[in-house]
Amino acid sequence: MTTTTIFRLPRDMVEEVLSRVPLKSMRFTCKKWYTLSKNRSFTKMHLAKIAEEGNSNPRMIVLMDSKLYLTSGIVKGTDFDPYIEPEGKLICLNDLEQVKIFQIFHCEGLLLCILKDISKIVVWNPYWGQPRWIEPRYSYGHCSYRYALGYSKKNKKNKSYKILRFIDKYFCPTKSRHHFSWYEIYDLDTGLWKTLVVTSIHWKILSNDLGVSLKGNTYWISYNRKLIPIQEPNVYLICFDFTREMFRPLLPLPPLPGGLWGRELVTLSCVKEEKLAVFYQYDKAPMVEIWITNKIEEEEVLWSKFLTVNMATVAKTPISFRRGDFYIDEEKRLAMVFDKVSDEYCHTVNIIGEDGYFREVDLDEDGSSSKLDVRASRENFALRTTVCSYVPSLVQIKKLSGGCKRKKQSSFELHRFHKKLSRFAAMDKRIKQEPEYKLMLSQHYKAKCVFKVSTQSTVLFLLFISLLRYEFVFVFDFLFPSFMQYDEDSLMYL
Amino acid sequence: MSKSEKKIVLKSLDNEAFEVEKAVALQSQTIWVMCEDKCVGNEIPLENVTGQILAKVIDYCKKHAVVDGDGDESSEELKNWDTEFTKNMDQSTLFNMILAANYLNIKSLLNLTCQAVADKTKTIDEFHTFLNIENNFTPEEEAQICQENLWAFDD
Repeated sequence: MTTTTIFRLPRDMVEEVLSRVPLKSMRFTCKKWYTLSKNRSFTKMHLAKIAEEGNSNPRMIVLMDSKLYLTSGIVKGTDFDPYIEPEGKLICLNDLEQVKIFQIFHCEGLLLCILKDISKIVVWNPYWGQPRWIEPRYSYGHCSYRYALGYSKKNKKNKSYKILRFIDKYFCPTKSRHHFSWYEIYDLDTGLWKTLVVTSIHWKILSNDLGVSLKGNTYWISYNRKLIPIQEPNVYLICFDFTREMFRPLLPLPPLPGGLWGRELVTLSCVKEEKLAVFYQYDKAPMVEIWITNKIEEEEVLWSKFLTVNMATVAKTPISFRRGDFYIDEEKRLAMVFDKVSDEYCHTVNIIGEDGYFREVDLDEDGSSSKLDVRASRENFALRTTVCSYVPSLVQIKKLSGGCKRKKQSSFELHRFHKKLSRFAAMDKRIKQEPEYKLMLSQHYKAKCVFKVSTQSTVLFLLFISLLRYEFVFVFDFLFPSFMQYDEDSLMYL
Repeated sequence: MSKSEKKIVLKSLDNEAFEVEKAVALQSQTIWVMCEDKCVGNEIPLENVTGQILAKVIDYCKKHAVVDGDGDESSEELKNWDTEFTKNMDQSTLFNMILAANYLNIKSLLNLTCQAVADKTKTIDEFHTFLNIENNFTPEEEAQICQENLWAFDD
């Protein structure tokens, strides 16, 4: 009997087989399959298949200790122990040493990666594999830049992808305070940066909130600068509209009994790129609440409660989340909360659900751990685990046309850029001249401490710790003796 | 229903006859349509499948006909059986199984066999060896594809 090879199969059978193998292997095997891998009907079928699988086992991209992983969350039901299955780790072909990633932002299948080397940012569609490197116009000193990835819609089919990059910072809260903000937008079609004119910045985006992309726009948790936190509830939702290139009016978050005071842990996530979800953990209380939107429009948002969990009753020891990055499986009525236990070098996924359902999946002990290689090194300890739900898309990042065809920066923009840059440099210089109390803890850990009298006349002991580029502020309150971790910028109100 | 009506004879390309329960055979949409049309008697000729392959297909259908309807408890067992079933099949048998599953229109078997081929060919090397495919890229073309696939999630 003659042997049957794959070439005897009809084309749709070949596609059936190839839609189940890693794309990279398919592309590198032979010319015929390379062409097929780019064929429209094949990619459409392939993507539909991935999406179908994703419905039962949601895919997530996890940034952990500067490395990027593609994983599936396998949660079969309350009788099975859930687990996180690793599907792959980011490998860069031209890079023997792995690229180290600092932050990721996801927008409908596209990823914006900020490298640890802050002068480099990359936009990448994991489905296609080709990264596009983007150079910021400046990366100055020891400063945290904020990013968002989104798109403006020219019409139904044509989306123009853009990156928002900004600084909005109070410098040096010890002595005098200087406010500086700079909003820039990069258009991936033209390859140009431009300074955004943002008038009356009456909101302040929380410094540890990375934002969540929904239908091309990005949402963050923010507070209103015009109100004084601690004295009145003051936590809102703010949206950057990439089509009109402007911030929209503040939107309300779902109510918490007793109001939102800014000391709760509040984080955002999205549900299947259609809805927004918010996670609350009460200040000094073990209650966790998750709400999702029923409707979200420019000036209106409707929330409904998704889950309430008392972390003191479900877990052996009450869990107080520090970061609260989370992912929602709406059908199974579950939430996965990624967190890091502070005193151990491990990552935990806490899966919470209705009727006291709770499971802890330790990424270090789990079967996936050895493959994931997640044991954090000391150096990476301070870095945060970020998770975003991932549904592949066929969006192509355009290549920039080279040479004289390319648009040039207008002289007006150049002028504006230099003006901003010199202001920024002056500010940075002034800060460097101010005395600070520096405690050198080790090579990586720098800290300074300050005593301060708060608006409520209590003495606060402030400990500023910067770990790599992260800045933490711990506040010790002598009246209510406890340590709190603070958003650096909200300190101005204390 | 008489006893003979519950059974059906499948005849392979090389004239091998298999008598099977109707419920087993009807997992094949193709056979189901043939029976519905009543254009055949109790014997169904299958012109595209050899006896060797048909025997395996029948094994699969028997297993799945019995276990289906028993509820969820056996789904894990069924999965293990499926894994064992395809584990030692060589390349040629697997492709013949795919062709047969396609011809007989048994969706779950088609999925299983396609997945089995995919599981055996994950890396580029496995593609070249298991599937017997020659790398026909010029070095320049390969470099170009490398450029296009610089960043990837890899196992």
